[in-house]
Amino acid sequence: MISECSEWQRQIPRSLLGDLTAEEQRALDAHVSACPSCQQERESYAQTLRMLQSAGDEPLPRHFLVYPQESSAKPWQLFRQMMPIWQAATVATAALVLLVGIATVSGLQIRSDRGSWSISLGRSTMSPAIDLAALKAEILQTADEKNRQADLAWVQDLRSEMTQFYTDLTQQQQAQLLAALTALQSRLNSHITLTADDIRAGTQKSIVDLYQAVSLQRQEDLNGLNVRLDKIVEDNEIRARQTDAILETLLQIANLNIKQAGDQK
Amino acid sequence: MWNQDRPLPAPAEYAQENVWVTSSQRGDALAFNRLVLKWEKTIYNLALRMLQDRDEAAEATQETFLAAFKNIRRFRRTSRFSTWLYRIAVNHCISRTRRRPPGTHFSLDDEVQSARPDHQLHVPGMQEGELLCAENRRRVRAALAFLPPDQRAVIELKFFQELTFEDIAAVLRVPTSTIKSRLYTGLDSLKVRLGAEA
Repeated sequence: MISECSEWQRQIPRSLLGDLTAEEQRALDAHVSACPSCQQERESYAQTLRMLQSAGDEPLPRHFLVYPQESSAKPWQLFRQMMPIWQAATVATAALVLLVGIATVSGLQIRSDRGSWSISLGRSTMSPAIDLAALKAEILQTADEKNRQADLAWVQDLRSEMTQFYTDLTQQQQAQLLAALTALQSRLNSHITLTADDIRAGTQKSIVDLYQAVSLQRQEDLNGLNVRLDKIVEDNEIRARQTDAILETLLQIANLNIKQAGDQK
Repeated sequence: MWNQDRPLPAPAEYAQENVWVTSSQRGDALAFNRLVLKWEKTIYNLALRMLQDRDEAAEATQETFLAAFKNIRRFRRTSRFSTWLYRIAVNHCISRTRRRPPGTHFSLDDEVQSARPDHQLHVPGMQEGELLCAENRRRVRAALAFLPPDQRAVIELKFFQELTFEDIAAVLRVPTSTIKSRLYTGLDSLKVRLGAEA
């Protein structure tokens, strides 16, 4: 069981980091669910991961800003930062350069002539076989040409890099602009819809107000008309009563006249 | 178990960082220092977990940013700026570890024991949660101190910087299979050490 479990237990950290295929994960889950030893192992790994996850950062002791004059480290600082093997190589190179320098200054000459070697100090009395001035000019020209080509290549690289960067940036800006325009359009649409709804509601309110005002006016007119009609009816009744009274008086007068005429006869 | 849904930086933040990188490449120290302010806490804590010594971590952090400033023109944008910065920092830390005399073992526990008032864990007024967090940090660092530098670097980048296996391979310039091997070996050692302390 133990030897069998060791293979499963090797897969447990991979499982916790999502580094297993779905099939491997299913097989492992099936085994672990039935194996207390592997359950304990998985809990142990999970506990380790939880501890790693909860170990946060410490606060900074200070800021680490860079000042341009600091960035040019002194040679001895660079030397001190080198690994020992590179320090040894640097010392050896410096010693070699020093030796060559001394040899140049002292005019050391090492010659091979027909299988025999000779070393001498001081200027040679033999005329030089090579035109040193022409050689120096050629070397300088070659070095200049090389520097120029290196500069051109650097400028070319820089230009292509900048072009790439600005293209990327432009694409990002275009995407952002498009998103902003879409948002603006949707806002305008909603605004137009809202405005139309407002106008419709306003119109309806105005019509209702107008209808109410007209109705009120009409009601007032009707009331006034009724009052006037009542007044006319009342006046007519008064006039009718007065007419009746006058007629009755006239009749009484007429009866009196007739009675007096009968008496005279 | 492990949270693998690492939140991507916001596009605006990423674009801003790109602008700062471009300005830095033109020699603008102010723009570079904005990058420093953004990344210094991350790099300092990376160095602290790698080197286990606060003074050395501060020196390594400063060296990392100086080296980055000097070489920013060589940053080709084939990766993120943070990936490039992690590479410089990890290389500085590994290089410093290798320069130490054989048998040297640093642990922040030694500093706690050395009665430095600013680094004492039991500061009066510290809340219980902070104490637990500090204690947990101490235990994790003590366990990390026993890992070889290459395993420590992988553990750091995976669990503290939350990089993918591919990103870690890009930072350390080794194959993904090697990264996984170092990670699981290191995790196994951590489990034993942290389990033994619990």
